[in-house]
Amino acid sequence: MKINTLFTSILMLILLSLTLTGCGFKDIDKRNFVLAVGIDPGEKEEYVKVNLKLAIPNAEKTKEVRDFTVITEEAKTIAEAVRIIKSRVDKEIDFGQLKTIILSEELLERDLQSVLDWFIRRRDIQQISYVALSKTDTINILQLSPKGEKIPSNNILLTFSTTGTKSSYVTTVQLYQLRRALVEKGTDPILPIIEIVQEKFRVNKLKIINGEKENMLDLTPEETKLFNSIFNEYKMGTIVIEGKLYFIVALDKMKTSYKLVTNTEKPYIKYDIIMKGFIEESETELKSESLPKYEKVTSKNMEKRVQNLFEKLQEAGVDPFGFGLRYRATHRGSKEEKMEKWNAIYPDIEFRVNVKAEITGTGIIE
Amino acid sequence: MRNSNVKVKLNQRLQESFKHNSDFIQKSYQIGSTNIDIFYLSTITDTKMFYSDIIEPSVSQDSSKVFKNKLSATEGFSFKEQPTIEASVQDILRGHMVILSDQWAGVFDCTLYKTLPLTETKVEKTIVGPQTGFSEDIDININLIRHRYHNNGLKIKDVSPKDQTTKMRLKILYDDNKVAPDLLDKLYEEMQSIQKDKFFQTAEELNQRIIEKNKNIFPTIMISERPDRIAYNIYKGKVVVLVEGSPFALIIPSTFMDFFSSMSDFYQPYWVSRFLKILRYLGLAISTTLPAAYVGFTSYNPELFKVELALSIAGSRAPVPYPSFVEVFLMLIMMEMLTEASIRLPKTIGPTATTVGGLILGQAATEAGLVSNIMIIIVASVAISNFVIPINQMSFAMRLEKYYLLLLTAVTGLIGLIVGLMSIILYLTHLSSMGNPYFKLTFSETPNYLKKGTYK
Amino acid sequence: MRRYFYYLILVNLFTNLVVYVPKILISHRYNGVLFSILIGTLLGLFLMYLFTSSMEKFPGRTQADIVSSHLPKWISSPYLFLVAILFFGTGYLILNAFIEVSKRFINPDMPNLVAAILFTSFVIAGAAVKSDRLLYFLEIILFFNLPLLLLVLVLAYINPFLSWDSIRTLIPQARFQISWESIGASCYTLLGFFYLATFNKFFSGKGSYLNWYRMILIGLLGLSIVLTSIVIPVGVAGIDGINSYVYPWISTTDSLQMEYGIIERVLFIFLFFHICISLIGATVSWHVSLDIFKAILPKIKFRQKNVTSYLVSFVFFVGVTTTSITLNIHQQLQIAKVYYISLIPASILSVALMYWIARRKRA
Repeated sequence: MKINTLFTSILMLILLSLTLTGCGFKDIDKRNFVLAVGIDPGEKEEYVKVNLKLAIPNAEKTKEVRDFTVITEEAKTIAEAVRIIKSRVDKEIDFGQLKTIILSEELLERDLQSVLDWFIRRRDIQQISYVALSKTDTINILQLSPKGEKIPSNNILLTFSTTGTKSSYVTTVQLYQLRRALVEKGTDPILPIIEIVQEKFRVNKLKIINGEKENMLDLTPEETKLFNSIFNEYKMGTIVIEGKLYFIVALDKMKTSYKLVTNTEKPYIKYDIIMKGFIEESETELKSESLPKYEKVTSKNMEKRVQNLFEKLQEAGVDPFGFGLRYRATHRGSKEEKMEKWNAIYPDIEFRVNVKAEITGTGIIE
Repeated sequence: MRNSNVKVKLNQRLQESFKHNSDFIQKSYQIGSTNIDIFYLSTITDTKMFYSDIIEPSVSQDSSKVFKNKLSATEGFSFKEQPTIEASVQDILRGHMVILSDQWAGVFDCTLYKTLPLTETKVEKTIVGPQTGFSEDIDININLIRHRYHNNGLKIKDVSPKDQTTKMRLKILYDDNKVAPDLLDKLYEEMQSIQKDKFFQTAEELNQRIIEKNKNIFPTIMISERPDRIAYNIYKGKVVVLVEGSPFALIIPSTFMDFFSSMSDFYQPYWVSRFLKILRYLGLAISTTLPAAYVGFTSYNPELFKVELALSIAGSRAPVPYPSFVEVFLMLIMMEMLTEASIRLPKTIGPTATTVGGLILGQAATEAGLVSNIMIIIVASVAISNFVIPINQMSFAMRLEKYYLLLLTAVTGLIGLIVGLMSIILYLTHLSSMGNPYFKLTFSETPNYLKKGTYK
Repeated sequence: MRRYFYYLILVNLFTNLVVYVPKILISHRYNGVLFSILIGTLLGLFLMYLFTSSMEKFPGRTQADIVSSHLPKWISSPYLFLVAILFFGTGYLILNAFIEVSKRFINPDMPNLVAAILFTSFVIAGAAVKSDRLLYFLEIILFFNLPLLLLVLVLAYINPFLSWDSIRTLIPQARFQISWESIGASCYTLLGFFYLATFNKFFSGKGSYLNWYRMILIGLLGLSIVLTSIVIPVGVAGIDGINSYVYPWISTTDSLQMEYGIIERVLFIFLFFHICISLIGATVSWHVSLDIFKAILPKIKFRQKNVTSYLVSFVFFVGVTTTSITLNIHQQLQIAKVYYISLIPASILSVALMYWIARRKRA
């Protein structure tokens, strides 16, 4: 068997197949990169307004490359709006670089899942795009270009990603996490709220949505910070202790675990937090001999605050921590049965928070 | 040594040990009442003085005693009381002449060093290590190899293809203790089948004759000008073919990895040579895939770039009127022209050509908006990384491969690039070099041709 | 040479990530998929032990050779024909899944026909290469792809946003309800040993393919790969949300991020792995299929040359290209399900037959 003839004939076949193609080839300079998308409810009922932030590439190296345009279109669905926008621009619209999705808060009154459906379905939209909520029209967010921004929409990106700034106020939610929490029974999605303050973005609030029961809860910045440190086991956070003593603990270790106990008469959740840190700032003089005392104060303080947070969530009927999912994971039965039982349990469940704080030092001064 | 029996035995064993060596000479003379036998290797022994000053005057008139005295007075001659076979073989391999008579034995040191016509290696340069390459004289080349391989396992055989027109002298070198017999048989067979009317006069052409039947893209037989590489490969159990008048030798069989080894790997510290090796494969990867990858990324899947890079490429490509693959193709062809031109040009003009071509042309092309800035970077890195491959034969083959990948990618995108790469690897594994696998991940298992090897 | 046997096992293990296996397993996630996986893996391991120990009795011979010399022609020929068809089916399913994936995720504008021609020609060329060279090729491809797979798996497991509670939800569902589909699919991942049908001719030395600790190792590896194939998608997309993804693994890897990598989206690393493993997996199975066809089909001469293998290759080619343009993904999935279910009796039968022949030889 002459392999070479085979190879040659295959090469011929491949070459033959070349004549069939030609599509799919689209040069990079013939594409319009969408860097951010903002979705608002439309003027008309059931309509959506889609804002696309398109980058304009610049050949001049010396100039600051921050040219962009925002194109807005209203239609019945997102896909349709995008199709209309396509007819308005000269180049192919490419969602491959889309990293930021801003949703208007008013949109939450509709079915969030159907809004997200388009984003999930498209193959070129990254599942790791960041999603945030805006209180005002999203076009304001998209059009803001803070000073020093080299690439359009880069500032929002750096805020959310870990390559840029790290702050315990910022909650990061990626598209796939949002979608998972939305669809998964027994856990509720969260969304960070992005605002414009003094020509800069600010992200320090959080909204928790319960898809079915239409419950929503806004957290204050302080609560958001606490939420982030527990939910993401955020290591870099700080805890402010107020009262007789005033000091700030900078965390460098945060470990949480919980147990769901439902076979007792009164079901409860035993929530354990182990944290480690050092004192970063203090108004009173601190002594290293009395570290155990500070540890105790910190533990008590944290326990109370976490307890309050949990109870607030419980009261609002939202479950971002996924206690319900844990219930599903540890109990037998069909999905519907379990969810029904859980919905009966959750409003009355007791939280037993147990914080073990360890303070390793008082910083580099006493 | 007073026993002629020993002499006969020694004589036989020397002949036995040097059989299949066309340059091994054994001669007998009758001087007075004694028979003397002389043994030497003609390629590394300088016999002129011995014949003109000693044998010629002595053969007819001297008695054996006078002859013996005359010898002992000659510079470089010494008697051996207890000549052993091992010592004699070693002496001959060093270029000495072994002289045996019925009563005595001796060694005459008349090593031939042919250094004058040797030049520096031109193609396979190393920074440290030996600097001389083969010359165009086949005897000098054998001289060089013998001086690097003092072992009587080394055999040098004359082969003459049956129907060859030019009647070129071909010599096959191998180490008898290491080579696999079936490899030799196969090689003889190939040599015999070289066709009647085909004209050839160099090792390179012979290489083509052997390979031609398969119409390869890749070189499956290595050509080298370095005596140290040849000696190393003989030690590794391979067969070397020398052709009269050619400063290159063929190494049979060769593997793909051989083409990425430089002799300087042996002269560098372990981690340095490892690093250099990785660098070469990296160079191979860059020079073959980069142009195709550029087309695939920019025209099919720009989402693989980071935002920053995507925008800057889009910006620099904005004034370019042609699609990316035309742009790449244009620049690559220009680069090939430049490479070819600088090979042909005399040394004095060469740098000017590359400066004019590379710097000015590249600069002007971007200014004129014919190609993008990124393209210049790509073409330059392709050209440079191609030169990292130490053996020219391979870097020429790889220059070709990038067009195949470019074509596939231009039509089917990044899938084409990956399928193309896989098909190249498949093709390489499919190839054989004289019946041995050409491309494998490891050759750690003893391959066929080393089975007989005894080295540890 | 013995290490090549493990490559064959490995390549089959990995192809399960790229074909319909995860999809089938996920569709049974509410009714005891973990138990089915366990049964499927054990079954696969047991068959592996029987088959390899029978093949060891015939060093240096292919299955076609053994069967046709020990059985009358009227049994051996139809049997071998069936085996060859099943091997063809493996490659066929891999290729079809791959054509769909490449069209959907890499180059959406490429017509199915072009993709089919491109991939099928490669696979046919690979299948025509000599068996030992194909093993070398397999080794090289695995060498480049193992680190990639490892990277993807590590990134997947260390992802702090992996929902372990969703994964744990799989466990209480693991009642003793079993589904043949998921047993077949998870058993399939360990069936790489069947490639010995052809490649046994290179393993001529003494010694056995397996001993007890290698069996345990392969079993654990197989089990962990099959479990991973369902655990990671469930952890990333949620147990309720995963079902709506047509390609769970691809959508899953798109949710992974490598912020400091050259390529930020792990999806593309996985796609690279996907392409390589699909092509090599299809190549190996078609090579075996072609080999068996060559042994049983009559030699057809054309200009003094035996063109049987060309003809068979052409049939393969036509088979893939036509179905790639006529069938849609759901029909393909149906075919895959039927194939995996039929694989269980077929492989048990095949192994039993080989075992019987080996026993008879010893007696």
